[in-house]
Amino acid sequence: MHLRKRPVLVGPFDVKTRDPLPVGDGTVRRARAVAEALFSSETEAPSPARLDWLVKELRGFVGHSGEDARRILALSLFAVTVLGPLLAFKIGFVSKSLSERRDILDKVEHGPLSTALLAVKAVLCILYFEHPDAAKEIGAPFECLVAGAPSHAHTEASR
Amino acid sequence: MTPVESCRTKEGRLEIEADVVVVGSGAGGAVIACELAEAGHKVVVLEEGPFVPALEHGQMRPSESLRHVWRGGAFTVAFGLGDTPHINVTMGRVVGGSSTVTGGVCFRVPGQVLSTWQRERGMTHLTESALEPYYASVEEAVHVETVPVNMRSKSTEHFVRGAEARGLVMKPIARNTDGCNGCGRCNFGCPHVAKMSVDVTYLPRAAAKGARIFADCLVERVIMKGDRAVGVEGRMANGKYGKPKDAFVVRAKRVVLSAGAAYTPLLLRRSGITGVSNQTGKNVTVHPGFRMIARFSDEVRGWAGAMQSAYTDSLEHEGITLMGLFVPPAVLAATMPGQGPELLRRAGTVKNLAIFGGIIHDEGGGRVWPGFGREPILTYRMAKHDRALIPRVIREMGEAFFAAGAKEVFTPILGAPGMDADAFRAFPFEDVKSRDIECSSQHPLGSCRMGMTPEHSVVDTVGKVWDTRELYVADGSMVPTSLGVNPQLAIMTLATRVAWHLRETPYLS
Repeated sequence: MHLRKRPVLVGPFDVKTRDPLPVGDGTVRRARAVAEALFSSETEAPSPARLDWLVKELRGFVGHSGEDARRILALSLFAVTVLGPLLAFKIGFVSKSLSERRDILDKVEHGPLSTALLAVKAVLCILYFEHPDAAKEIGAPFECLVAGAPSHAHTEASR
Repeated sequence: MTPVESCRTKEGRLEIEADVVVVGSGAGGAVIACELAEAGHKVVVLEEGPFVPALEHGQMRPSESLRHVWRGGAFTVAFGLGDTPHINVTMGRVVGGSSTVTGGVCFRVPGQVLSTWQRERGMTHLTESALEPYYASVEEAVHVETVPVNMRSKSTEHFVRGAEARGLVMKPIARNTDGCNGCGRCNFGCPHVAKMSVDVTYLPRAAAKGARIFADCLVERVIMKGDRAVGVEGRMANGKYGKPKDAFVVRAKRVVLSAGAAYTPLLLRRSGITGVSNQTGKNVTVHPGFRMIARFSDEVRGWAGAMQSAYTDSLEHEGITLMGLFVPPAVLAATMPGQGPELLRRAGTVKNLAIFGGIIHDEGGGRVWPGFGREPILTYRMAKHDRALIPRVIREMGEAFFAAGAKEVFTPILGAPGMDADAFRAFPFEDVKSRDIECSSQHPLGSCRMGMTPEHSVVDTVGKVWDTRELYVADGSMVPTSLGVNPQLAIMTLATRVAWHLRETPYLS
């Protein structure tokens, strides 16, 4: 109702169709390896289709967030996947098994590079759990959180 | 209605003339633009970020909002110096500025803060009654209303119950909303355009009166003729991938900088304006903020209800304000410790999670430095007294949740596991290294603080930059101290005061 009472700002809306800055293949490869471990079950990584979707989203996210964000993510991934293994007396990350990668991430989370992992984990989790299936898996219906969602008046019934 | 113009699609050098050029379109700049345009001045607003209509923003997923509306994808950091956590300082970078990414919380400047301004800084004329007309104007313009109790989320209800059991007095929050449906995602745009951020209030009014608003427009310096500001210049973001390319110049009788606490001081410095006080870029306060997440055995579904609806100032005498909030499930899941099955198991409990936040009414210690490129570098050195409050904030929030029946809490200690009440009480929070504490801020203030003398401040109390003519500041950078509460209403109020002064002040011939 209030929209009808007020003038509305108009203008070109094109941010979604703008070309994102390219994201380096090394950054994407490292991010995918972290995501495989981060979202794995005891034995398996998420499906390749889910990871492909995540990588596509990651390219869009980082590419549109600007150069500083791209730099910070690249540096954080470097810290987690190159320096992080050293904390577990290992070298390399991408080629390691899922359980080895999880161990490395665990060491990083409890060590001096925890801030770098926080940055990486934050981006990957936000993107990963926005996938409709992932959202469903954690029991988070996305009323009001995705395009075209119905209004979600807070009522006793809605609880 | 004058449509927003994007510089992304313009080509060649752009030259414009105006009475007033406003740099930045957030809580400060939008107010200035509107008030002056409605008074008949020819106004141009220059915004670095893109134009994202409010309705489109409200349809975005949180990650889309982060990448298109937030500065640097919300990766912006104030680097902690000494015994200080690194602080994630988030800002908007869009037409409407940070007002588009707030929870809409509105506070007047607290009485004790005004007293400090009067007593310690000599601004005796800034009294509650003197500010009343400005408050009234802003509160009507952005429709400030109290969140009714029945709009509270269950997350907030849990905390309120526990906090009240511990003797804290919980109060309802006022927000700039009209028609809120309680979606719990105000920071990422409102699906119903119920958040009355400046892109749906002041800026449309300004545009309706002929103000020209340029998006994707990067101001690099103020053009000075002696001590007089005569315009600004910079480059349009019309290069490949939006990089700065073609130059623009706006010649104006008056320049108002409203680029926010991180950018306004940089613009002054790049324009060679440092002032005798050498305070530009110093004295930054941020309200260091900490979150506490609690798992309950019943379903909380904290996203159902107003994102921010209750707070307590019962601990203000210690320098602490506790404030309700919620974050979308995907963001909440990102804060869970662990990897693989452990992370997924915890993420699977998002519907059982409640969250609350605490901010410190800080003494300051932040600084804006010129970066290597266009972006500033922020540093922050926490005062000892403020640093000592971190364990206090964490303990108070955790205890409130346990008093409400929480099974475990997730503290802002990086890598720390969920803790039950016994583990929580035994945890040595006082011994945690600063670098292991997750800290965030949405309220950078004070980098061009106002004051009574050029020796101790950057601008006077109507925003005029000392020792210059026709150059003003109207944004969070002029707020002289930390407020201890969300600052958007205070910023808009001070900007209104600047605007009404400018409205009555003839231009120099």
